[in-house]
Amino acid sequence: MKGSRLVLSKILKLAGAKPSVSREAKLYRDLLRHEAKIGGELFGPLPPGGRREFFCLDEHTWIWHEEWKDDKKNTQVRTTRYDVRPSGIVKSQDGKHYQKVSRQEAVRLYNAAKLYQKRTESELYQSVAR
Amino acid sequence: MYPFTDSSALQKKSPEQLRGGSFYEADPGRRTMRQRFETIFKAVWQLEMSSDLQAAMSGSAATPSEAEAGKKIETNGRTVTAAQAPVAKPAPSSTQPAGESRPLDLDEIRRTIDRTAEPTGSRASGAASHLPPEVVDSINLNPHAVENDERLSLGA
Repeated sequence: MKGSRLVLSKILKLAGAKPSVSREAKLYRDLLRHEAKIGGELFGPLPPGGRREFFCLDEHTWIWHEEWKDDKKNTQVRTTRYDVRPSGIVKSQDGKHYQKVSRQEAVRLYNAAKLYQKRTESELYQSVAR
Repeated sequence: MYPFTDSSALQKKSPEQLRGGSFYEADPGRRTMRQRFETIFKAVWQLEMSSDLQAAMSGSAATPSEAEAGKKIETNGRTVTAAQAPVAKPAPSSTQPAGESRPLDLDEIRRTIDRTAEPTGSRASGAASHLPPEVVDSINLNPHAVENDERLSLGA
């Protein structure tokens, strides 16, 4: 009897743990999505047919994702990854080789990041910010 | 006894609990939110610490204030706020409605960025030369949009 309770307890623990983890993962992704939407709004109105996302992927990485319609109305997509290191900032577009960003671009990225931080804090994280 | 006046109960709590650590531990949702909040904070800090930004910011104002961000400026024939200016770009001629309904495909983006080779730190030539000018502008956080705005232009 005691043994079966132990097994049941273990099963419940296992069953309970997995959904909890997936719930957290889902929440994390939802937060990222919402942040990306906020980030895309920082830079003014979108052109018709366009889509823009800007978000902080992790402590060292910012992502710019842009979709637009070309002259033939085909959807074009460009993803730019900014890698931030103590030695400098580099970017890569669509997984291709890295290039160093200009100082001016670094400043604009920083300004965008600060605005992103401010907007996400006020619209998402105020309750956990201390 | 009213729990918040029970000093003995307070004394039993660890410093982390008193700071609110247990609060986040007990609530996975809040803990996840807290993690994201701290990640953004650290990411901005990493940006501030990068040598490129340090060099660029020397002698310049770091961040536009709220008032500055809301100030109207003229750029590319349009009036936008300074907050919008970093990547504001002229609207293309297309008249199709914006595709906002589809959720962001994080997996696809992650696959794309995972294809990225290890950075060399050196400048690669012509990486964006095939892109339309307006897209290059936006990807480059639009160097033209604020070139006449001395608060956001560096070295001008």
